[in-house]
Amino acid sequence: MCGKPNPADAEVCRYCHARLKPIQPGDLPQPKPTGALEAMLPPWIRELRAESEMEEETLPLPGEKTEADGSEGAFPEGESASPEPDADDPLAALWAEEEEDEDLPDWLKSLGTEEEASAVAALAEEQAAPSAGEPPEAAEPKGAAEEEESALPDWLAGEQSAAEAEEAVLPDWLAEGVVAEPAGEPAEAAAPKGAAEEEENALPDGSVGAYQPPLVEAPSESLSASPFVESEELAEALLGETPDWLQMLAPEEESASGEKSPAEEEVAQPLTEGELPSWLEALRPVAAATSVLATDEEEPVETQGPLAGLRGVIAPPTLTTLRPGKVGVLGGKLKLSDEEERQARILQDLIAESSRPLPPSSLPDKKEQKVLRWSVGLLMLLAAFLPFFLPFLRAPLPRRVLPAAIAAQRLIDDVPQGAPVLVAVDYSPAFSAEMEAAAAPLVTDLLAKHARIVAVSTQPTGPDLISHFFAALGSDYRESEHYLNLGYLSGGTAGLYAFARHPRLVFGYAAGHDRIWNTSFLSTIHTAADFSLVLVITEDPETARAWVEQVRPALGEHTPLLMVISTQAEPLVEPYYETASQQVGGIVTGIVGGLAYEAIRGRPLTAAAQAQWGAYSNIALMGLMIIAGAGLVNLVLGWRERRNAPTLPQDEDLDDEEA
Amino acid sequence: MASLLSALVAFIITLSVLSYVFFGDWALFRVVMYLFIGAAAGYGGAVALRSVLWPMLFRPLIFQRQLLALVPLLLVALLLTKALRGKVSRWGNVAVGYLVGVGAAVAVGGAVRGTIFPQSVATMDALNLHLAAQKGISPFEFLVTGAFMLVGTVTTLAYFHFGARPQRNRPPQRAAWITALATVGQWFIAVAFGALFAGVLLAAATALAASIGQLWQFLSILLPH
Amino acid sequence: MKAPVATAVAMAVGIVVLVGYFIPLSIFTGLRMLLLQWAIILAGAALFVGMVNLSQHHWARIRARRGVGSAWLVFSLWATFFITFYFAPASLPTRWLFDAILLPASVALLGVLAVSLTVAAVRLPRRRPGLFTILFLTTTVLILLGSIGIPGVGSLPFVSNLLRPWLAQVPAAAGARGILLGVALGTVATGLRILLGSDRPYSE
Repeated sequence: MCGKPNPADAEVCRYCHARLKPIQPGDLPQPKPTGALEAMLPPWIRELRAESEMEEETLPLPGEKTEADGSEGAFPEGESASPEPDADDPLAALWAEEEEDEDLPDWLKSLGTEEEASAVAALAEEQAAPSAGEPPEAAEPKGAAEEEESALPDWLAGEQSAAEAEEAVLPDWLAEGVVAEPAGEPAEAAAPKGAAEEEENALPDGSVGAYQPPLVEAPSESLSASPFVESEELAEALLGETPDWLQMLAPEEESASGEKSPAEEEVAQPLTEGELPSWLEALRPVAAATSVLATDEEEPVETQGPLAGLRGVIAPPTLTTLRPGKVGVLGGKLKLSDEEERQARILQDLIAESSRPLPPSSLPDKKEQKVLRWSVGLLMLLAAFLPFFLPFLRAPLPRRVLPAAIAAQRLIDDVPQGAPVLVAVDYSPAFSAEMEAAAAPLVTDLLAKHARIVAVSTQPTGPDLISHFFAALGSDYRESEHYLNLGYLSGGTAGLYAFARHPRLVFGYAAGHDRIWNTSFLSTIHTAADFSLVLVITEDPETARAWVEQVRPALGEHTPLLMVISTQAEPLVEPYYETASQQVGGIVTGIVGGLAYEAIRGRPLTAAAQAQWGAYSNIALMGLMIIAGAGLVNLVLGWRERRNAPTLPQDEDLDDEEA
Repeated sequence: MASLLSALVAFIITLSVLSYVFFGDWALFRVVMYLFIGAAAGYGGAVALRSVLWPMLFRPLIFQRQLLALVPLLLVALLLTKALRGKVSRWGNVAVGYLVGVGAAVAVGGAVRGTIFPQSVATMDALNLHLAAQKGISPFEFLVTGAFMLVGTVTTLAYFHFGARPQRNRPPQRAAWITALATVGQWFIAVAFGALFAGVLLAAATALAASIGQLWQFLSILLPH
Repeated sequence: MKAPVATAVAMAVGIVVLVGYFIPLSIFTGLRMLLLQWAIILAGAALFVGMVNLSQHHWARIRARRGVGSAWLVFSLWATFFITFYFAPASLPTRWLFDAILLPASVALLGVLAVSLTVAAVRLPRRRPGLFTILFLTTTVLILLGSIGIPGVGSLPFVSNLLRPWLAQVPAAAGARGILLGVALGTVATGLRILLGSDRPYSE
């Protein structure tokens, strides 16, 4: 263990007293007198022992069966399922007592009884020799260990000092397990682990409770349930990410606190002397060592978790055990009711159906799809181009008067001359054609009234979008003279909320002006309610909703909210217009809404606008005819295919939801 | 000259993008897309730096010595770790958590005060005849419209109710009356989605008309009159 | 618990902002505005981080010799960034970039969508023949018909003056109101889950 040379026939290291030869199967540890070591125990352990003796007078005398029954010590504390302490099993009584003594920390509980103290002493005699008959050493927090070091036996003190030095000293069998050396030869000291490696192996409290290694000299760092984590680990703990292996232990933690795990149930079964449960047998260090000796190097060494360094203790997953999607049939026959069988059959059918390929007829044919796209594209492009060549193909302008457009016109008319107006140019550049066509008549009216227009946008491209919008209105309108470009308002809904209530806080220094709030545009503005009108131009129903939800409540009674929206947003913005409180005071929708507004004003349209209306109408008309004609044909074909399809009929409701 | 060059570049880009209809995702289209995405991202980053971070963070910190600005500076620094690789990027979670927390609070407040209350009141007012007089429409028209709105709103909401009660020896099912309401709600949803789809198609048609108009405008410059 | 610091921060600032929303006490108002101001700054920084991330991703692709397109992207990204940063947004050079590249590309992309949507609408009844598909497409056709003019005819009087406005303002708006209420309720539920720490979308 310590790496110092010893004679070849020595069983125990002369320096660190570690066992150099592993105990072979069948070599049961012999009971040895431990009375001489009583004095080495720290006073607080002796006090605890006295207390426990007073409370548990019926317990058997120490040393009677400590070694023989010690196999139970490998069980975690508090996990024993037997309600009554077994008279033949002193440790069982101890566990029962410890369950009551909940105030003590785990590691203290493991040391706090006479029997266990005897076991510790016996272990001192055994020089940390691994045996299935020995109780485990509880993982100790380092900080506490430092204070108590002087009162601990030499071997334990040595153990702790080694721990302080952060040297992960492995016991012989474990060292053999790691380096795969033949038994009988002096074990080499395991290479000290790096700090980072040890930290990876650190366990939380609960995991120690769930599993305790059967070995005295297991490196305390690696089993540390200690809250004293290193800085990097602390950062990881604070920032959140737990290693996967640790998460896998979580159910065990839960089981330790509440429900019984299978392992606990196994514990509850009566054990005959010398007969170990299979899982415990698998954890026996000797068995681990011999298995390494005996056979295959191919079995994997555990690299993390409490089993780090052990080889072959967990069966490696094989292709047969890891077969995704297939669950093997377990032994025995389940007793199912008819109803359960029926449900299981339905589930089976569902799974089978979901994996069944769709009939080829409903799969899209790439060639057919390509032809369809070419034809539709060609027809639509042709329909769009023709009005530019042939003016008679331009549709006449609509003469409709929309109620929402009338409301918008009234709101614009109500704006006093020279009043401040907030214009939100809040659309994506892709929709600029539609939005400019719809909003231009309103903003032109506002400019004609010499309104002090302040433009803002929650789009990152907002600053240039605003410039483009006003440039499209005419070259007469200049920035900082006819309108003020505040630019990009960051923060989404939070930005809107803050801007509506404290615009000076949000745009303290905007548009490159130091004294922007002293200009004529903004000198009277302290909240959004100080504007005479708020005009939002947007294509996105979400953006419209954000303005209604965040800004509208701050506007009060005297500042109406007017919206110019795209046709795609109409159904979702309309309900805000329909409310009695008129959250949105007026709506102008798309190119049709803009034309309706112009019709109210009686202004003539430019030739370019007429051509655009013609192209728009022709494209939409072509789309309409294609959808109606080809859609009808496809509907008949679809019905026919469905009727002839060999598959199970699909749920129509589900289909329509997906559609 | 600059405007002609701008028109030429715009013409090429428009033509390249529209070519997707016939040639799909071919080389020129891809190049234009890469250029477009890069330009949009670069523009957004520069706007963020120049219009947000400089006036709201660095300027107060440097010129006005506002020490309180150190807090957002720290948050920004944490957020910047998101651009780094490795475990250090986890520190950015704190800044993202800040953003998410504020965003959630604002969204909750806005939804309650801006949508849930007003829209619920509007639904309840659907049959309030006093409003008919205010709006200047006949009571009959108001009642018919109001009934439609009421039924449509309630049944649509019922459609989105997916709660089901477990039943003895039977799979969990929605209550029968909710199923009936949901069936009616489906009709309204189909109409609403149809209207939305038509709206998107019309918006796209406007954009296509604008693109064609731009191509035509450039060609008319080149073509002899 | 995953990301306890981020969770604590999200919950604390969220609750302060939400309480300030409904209880307009001056003690909350100032604090709330300060928190919102920081959020606005952070949102701006997030935009910048997004740009850097995109650049990093494509730079890695260039180094791995996996994309000529990535080189175009990185070039246009940094060129636009420096031009916009140096000359300021809404200046002449950025207006040129906007008018020549950003605007035509995005408008044309939306134009292509018109073709794609039409193709999708044509294929829908074949793939999903059913009553609701018919209702969906009938509404679409009627709204389209009521929103356009026909060459030589103009707008169809009944469809454009009565049917189309009624469809958009009554049944469609009723369905949309139900959707809006559903979305708002969902927003409240999701927001409260975040504020109570049970939903942590920020912990990667």
